Amino acid sequence: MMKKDSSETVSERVKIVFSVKEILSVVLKLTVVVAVVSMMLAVVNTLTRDRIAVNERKKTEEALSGLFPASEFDEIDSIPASTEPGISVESVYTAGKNGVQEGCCVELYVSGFSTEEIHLIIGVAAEEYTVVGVEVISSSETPGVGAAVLAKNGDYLKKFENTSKLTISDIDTVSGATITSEAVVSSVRTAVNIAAVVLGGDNNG
Amino acid sequence: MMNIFLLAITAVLIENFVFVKFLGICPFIGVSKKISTAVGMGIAVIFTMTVSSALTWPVHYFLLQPFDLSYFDTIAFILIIAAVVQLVEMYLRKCIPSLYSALGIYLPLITTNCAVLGISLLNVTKGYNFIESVLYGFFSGVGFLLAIVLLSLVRERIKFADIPTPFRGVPIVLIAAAILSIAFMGFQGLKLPF
Amino acid sequence: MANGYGKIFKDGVFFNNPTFVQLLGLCPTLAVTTSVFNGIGMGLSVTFVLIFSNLFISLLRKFIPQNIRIAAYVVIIAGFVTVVDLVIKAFFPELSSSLGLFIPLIVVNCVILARAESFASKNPPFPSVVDGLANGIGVTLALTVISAIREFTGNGTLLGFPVTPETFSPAVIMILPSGGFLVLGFVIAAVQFVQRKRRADR
Repeated sequence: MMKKDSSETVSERVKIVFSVKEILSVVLKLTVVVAVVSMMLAVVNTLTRDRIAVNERKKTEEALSGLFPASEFDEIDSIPASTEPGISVESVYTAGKNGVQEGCCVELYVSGFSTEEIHLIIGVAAEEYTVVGVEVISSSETPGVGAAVLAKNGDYLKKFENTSKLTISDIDTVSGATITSEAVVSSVRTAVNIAAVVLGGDNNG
Repeated sequence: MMNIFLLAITAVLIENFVFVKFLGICPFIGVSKKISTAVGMGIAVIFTMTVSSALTWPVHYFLLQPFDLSYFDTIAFILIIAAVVQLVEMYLRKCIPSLYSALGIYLPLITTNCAVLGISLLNVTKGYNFIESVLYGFFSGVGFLLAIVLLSLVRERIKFADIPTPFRGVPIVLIAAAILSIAFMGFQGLKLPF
Repeated sequence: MANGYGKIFKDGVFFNNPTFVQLLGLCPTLAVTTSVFNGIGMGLSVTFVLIFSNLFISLLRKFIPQNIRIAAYVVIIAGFVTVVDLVIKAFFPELSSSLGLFIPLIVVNCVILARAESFASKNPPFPSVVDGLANGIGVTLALTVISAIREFTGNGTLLGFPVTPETFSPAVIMILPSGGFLVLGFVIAAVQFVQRKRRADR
């Protein structure tokens, strides 16, 4: 009886040892796979990192210089909150040339028709807070409908040039692309309001 | 409280994972034959999406981003999801074996459900805080449940219809989904502040 | 030998087409086929991941233990998907913003895991690469067909170039989610029709 017991426990013990070994080997092998993959990723990341950063800045910088050519831009630290739903202000840049403040650019995200937000930069001049222009950084609106409204150098976005707080409401929404055009209108309104706060504060000084 | 309600409406209807974002299509088509399995799958997905959102958020914000390792998001998230699904599997096998066998192969396939990895990545892209991420995960799962139950209701009805032979199986289901999707278009473009 | 590779190739592209026959990877098929550019971009990305993950998994097939093989495959696939993601972000930022979330979601594209499990884990490296390439081309073909239909009917363009007369009024719904379901449903119906005919002829 006793002998049977002890041989059983010995074989049980051997089983446990094996499964611990098994587990260790499995974990080790998985770790090796993870390590190899991670190394490969680290290499690719180092190779592409700078280019990705450049790409992300490029569009913004092009838009800013498109609105206020040959100006210097300063990003301000405290951004006023947006007053309208669906709009989140990303950053505000003040534009200056030769020490004179020309205006500011408001970078914001607004929800349009698609589930991806529209990324806009709106330029507002310091004079009377009139709109300089609307630049679209990225959007995923419906081609032919919403996307046509947002077309670069298109008719709709041109309508906003030289509008001010009061005249923005004169601009109609585009039928068939109501939501996209409404998003642009409320974005421009927000940008003008923010410009008044940012630039107005400085002027009164 | 109102904020949660608005977030719920956004996640379930306006940005419905299946009909608007196209995430979670494979189980959507595969498991919607019977209403009971559809409900079971929907609940399993809600649980997985909520728990994954809760676990992946801290991993991104405390482990990866501070060390500039954001490009490890995909790998880390999918491993966490695989572990969560494994736990769900073990729980169901012990506690609700009928559901376990009804879901069959589709249960481990929750790991490859675009909706689960999608919600983890979306929470990061949208910059939600922890509570928002977990709630968004939960309600997006509810949206998935809604979609899959709606489709299973339709499928049970058309089961006895005389469908042209080439359309039997997946095609007619896709066309039913197309019509359901048109209904959900009514919610698009709404901006709910939360 | 050539016969074997020919068969692998034809199966992957046509007879066992991942999208239309195996019915795998439908999420990206519906989501990114709003334009031919996106469809081809996604197809090529999937092909890249398929080739390299099949290669690696085949090379490591004797090293990876059975019970954690899925986890190991997923890690390898996720690695290559991240590589594709970084490369596209760096060199094709336009594509990156149109495809958005769906590039990292290639990880959970059932096609890649299915090929790894059913082919690469049981075959030597070179046939696995051919299988990956073939299935990748199959996916690209499927995505191109669907996005061509959707872009043509929904926007009147192909690859961004207008190909329809001014009088043609595109049906925008084809580019919206419903259109995706609709086109895919009809195309799969057409494929099933052809399949039945071939089976009846034999």
